[in-house]
Amino acid sequence: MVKWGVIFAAAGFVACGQPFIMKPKLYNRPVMVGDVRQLGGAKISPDAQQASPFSAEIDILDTPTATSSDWHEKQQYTLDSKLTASTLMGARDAQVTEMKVGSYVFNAVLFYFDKDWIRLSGYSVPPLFVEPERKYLLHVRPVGKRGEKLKKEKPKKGARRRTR
Amino acid sequence: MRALFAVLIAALAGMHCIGNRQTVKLNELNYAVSMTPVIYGSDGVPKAEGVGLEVIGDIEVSHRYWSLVYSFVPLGDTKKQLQNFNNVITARGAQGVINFEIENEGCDLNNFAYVVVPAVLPFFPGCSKITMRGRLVRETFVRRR
Repeated sequence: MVKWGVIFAAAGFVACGQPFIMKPKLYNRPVMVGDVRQLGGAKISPDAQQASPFSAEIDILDTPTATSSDWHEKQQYTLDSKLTASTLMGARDAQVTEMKVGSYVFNAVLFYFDKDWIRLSGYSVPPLFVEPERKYLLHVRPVGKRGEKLKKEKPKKGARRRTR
Repeated sequence: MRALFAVLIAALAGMHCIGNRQTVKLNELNYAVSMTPVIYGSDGVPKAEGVGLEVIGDIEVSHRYWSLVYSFVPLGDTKKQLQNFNNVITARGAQGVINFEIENEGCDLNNFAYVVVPAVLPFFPGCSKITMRGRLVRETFVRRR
């Protein structure tokens, strides 16, 4: 019995001894953590009317038959997707206020489960910085050869201006 | 009655969990901290390393947390760890942190605990290590042409 226990424990140690992190991979806007929104700024509590809550979670489970070694491939963009959606494709800012983490080893006589999870919650608020609108000037060149000047049409000598 | 009691004991002996759960309340942070390489400057404009930001070093603060009663009763909270995080930023003269991340790692003790008889009992403690890390930054002002 002890021998089996040691084997399970060794398997568990190999399979589950890895740390878990959740962070954005591709999201390239500021994702502020806590209430301070800018360098040297003061704490600003969220405006309850304008804040929209969001949360993202990753759940990693190890069993004797399946390990969580590929969790990174499956869940690494979970937070990016959530941020993109909750900030309306970057039109709002994301503020993270709370992170819950858990790590369990669950044993049912013959089975062994290791579960780790991270849940991140926060809210999206109106952006702190709005990119100024860009203006594009379009230069339109008149049709013709390069360097060719447009000649003004001179009135013919014989032609008279018709007046009434 | 005895049979029921025996079944309960067997269930408890066979099915139990050990570990830890914690809530990190990030509102305790006194500095601007961003999970991406981009952060808002004092003028409210997004800044990154080399573009209005200077990286002055790395920060890493770890703490081991314990729980009782199959992780339902956490011992201690993360306030102290966040306070330490604030203190490190102050001591290094930084103004904020970019690339912030929280790492959760179950202690090796959890994996071996079920081999040990007392792990079945609710007062056997579970544990996990929470690490907060990031890059310390300071604002540099760029002259606009």
